[in-house]
Amino acid sequence: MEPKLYKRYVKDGTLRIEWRDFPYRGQESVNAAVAARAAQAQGRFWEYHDLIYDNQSSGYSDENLTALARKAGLDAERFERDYENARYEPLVRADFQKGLNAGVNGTPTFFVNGKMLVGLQPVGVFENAIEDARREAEGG
Amino acid sequence: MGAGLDVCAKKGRVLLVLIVFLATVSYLIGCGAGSGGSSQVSEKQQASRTAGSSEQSGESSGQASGERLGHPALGSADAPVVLIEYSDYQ
Repeated sequence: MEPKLYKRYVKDGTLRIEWRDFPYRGQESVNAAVAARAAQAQGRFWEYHDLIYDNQSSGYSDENLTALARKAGLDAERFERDYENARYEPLVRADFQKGLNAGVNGTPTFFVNGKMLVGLQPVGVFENAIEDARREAEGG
Repeated sequence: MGAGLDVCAKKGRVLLVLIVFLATVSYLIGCGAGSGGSSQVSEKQQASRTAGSSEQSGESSGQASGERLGHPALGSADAPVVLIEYSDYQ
């Protein structure tokens, strides 16, 4: 998510950003999502998430995902156990299903207080959507 | 002597009728129990399936161990605006 939005809206308490997995491009997508949830279990979701994106070109083999876990400073043994057992895969699948139910059919797809925005958008589009949502939430 | 044979024959017929009657009753009871049994089995199977599906929901609360994680998020839970991002790592 755009750092500008984080600085402008998250820090002052206006905005909360929530991640949902929508791994629709095959098993490697699912693996990456499951690995990120295993990182979340150790309180390092966002660090791991950023590492995954930074290393997209290397692919998401089990070895690469485990190497990223070490790089993120995770407890590698616990990570491997959770990852190999696919402990959090049901969560990932549940997100995916909820996304489908909500009409998501590609990524990224955003909902700003329920209003859907499909695809990457200029920051201004998000700013407008956030300002509109804030006004509505404040009753204006 | 002839009368004796006659009495024996009558007793034999009564015995035969009794045997047939008992066999019929026994057969009918057997069928009834059988069908009741299979209905119980079927109910048991049904219950077992139901239990199985609750167990599966229970597994999804094994997911629940995951769900306790909540969704990865940044920002206050009380924020007036929530942006949900559906994304894929590819």
